[in-house]
Amino acid sequence: MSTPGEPNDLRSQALEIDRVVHEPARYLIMACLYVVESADFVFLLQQTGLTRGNLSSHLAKLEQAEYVAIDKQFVERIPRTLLRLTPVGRAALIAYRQRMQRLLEGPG
Amino acid sequence: MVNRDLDLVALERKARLAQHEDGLAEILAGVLSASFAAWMLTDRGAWGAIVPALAVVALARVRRWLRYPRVGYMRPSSLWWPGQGRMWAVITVGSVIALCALCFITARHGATVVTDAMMAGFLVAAAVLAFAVAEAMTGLARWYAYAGALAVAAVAAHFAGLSIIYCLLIAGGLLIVWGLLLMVRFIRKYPVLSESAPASGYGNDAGGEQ
Repeated sequence: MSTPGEPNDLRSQALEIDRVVHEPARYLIMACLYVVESADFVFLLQQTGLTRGNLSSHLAKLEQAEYVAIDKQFVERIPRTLLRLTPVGRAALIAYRQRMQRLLEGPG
Repeated sequence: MVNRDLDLVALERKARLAQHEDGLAEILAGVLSASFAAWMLTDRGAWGAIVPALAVVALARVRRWLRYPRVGYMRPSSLWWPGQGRMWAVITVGSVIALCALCFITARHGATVVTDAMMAGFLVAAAVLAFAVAEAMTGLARWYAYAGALAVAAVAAHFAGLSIIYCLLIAGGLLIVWGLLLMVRFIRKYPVLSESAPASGYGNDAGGEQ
């Protein structure tokens, strides 16, 4: 039985890391969406510096995990993809940050 | 490392600042200031009401055409807006100072006496407060510089024996010119990235999933 702070505990925490959020590009996307109510695709392109294809594929992953809600709409016949972090996504991001902080601080 | 050190406050600030680099706020402030001054000078209602209303509508349309295809659209979060508290602090402190000043003037000169100098003082104070609120809302420190420049110009105009109204008119004109310069810089800095633009120009690595 391991107590908090012991190597076994750290190992189990490391294994519990959310792999969807752990990928740096996805983490950046989620962080960008965390600080706003909603944003469009162009905004994320600009803020993250990712390419279109990369951003699209990461967003698809996040949508699949139900961390991001994607709403496609037309504003004056121009397509706009509005994205927002779901409550599940917000909770996942917070939990991930806390877990990473604990892990990196280590047993000491 | 990015996973540990990403500063969400800095990220929010960066996201918000990107929305205010196009100079539209400066142009709007300039139009409002200049049209108000023109209204005071000419006493024509159009300057006081119609021109500002048209400017607001026109700039909203320009924003859709200029800003969103370049830096995108975002709706600020009510949860994540550190400037919100500061904005209300500025409004509260400004209002308290204005009330104190009003009480002081009333006690000293009587309730019905409002001199031109007092009115000018109120106008400049209102403009400075508006700039301070704009700074708190946008996070752009240059609004404080505008407020400071306006206050200095008002004091200079007072000692030179000029009307404060001219001060507002000139400040409005300068803000419009400055806003246009910022807009040109914004257009050169940010190319169009609209969703309907061809993908080939921005990398085509679909499936670059890791």
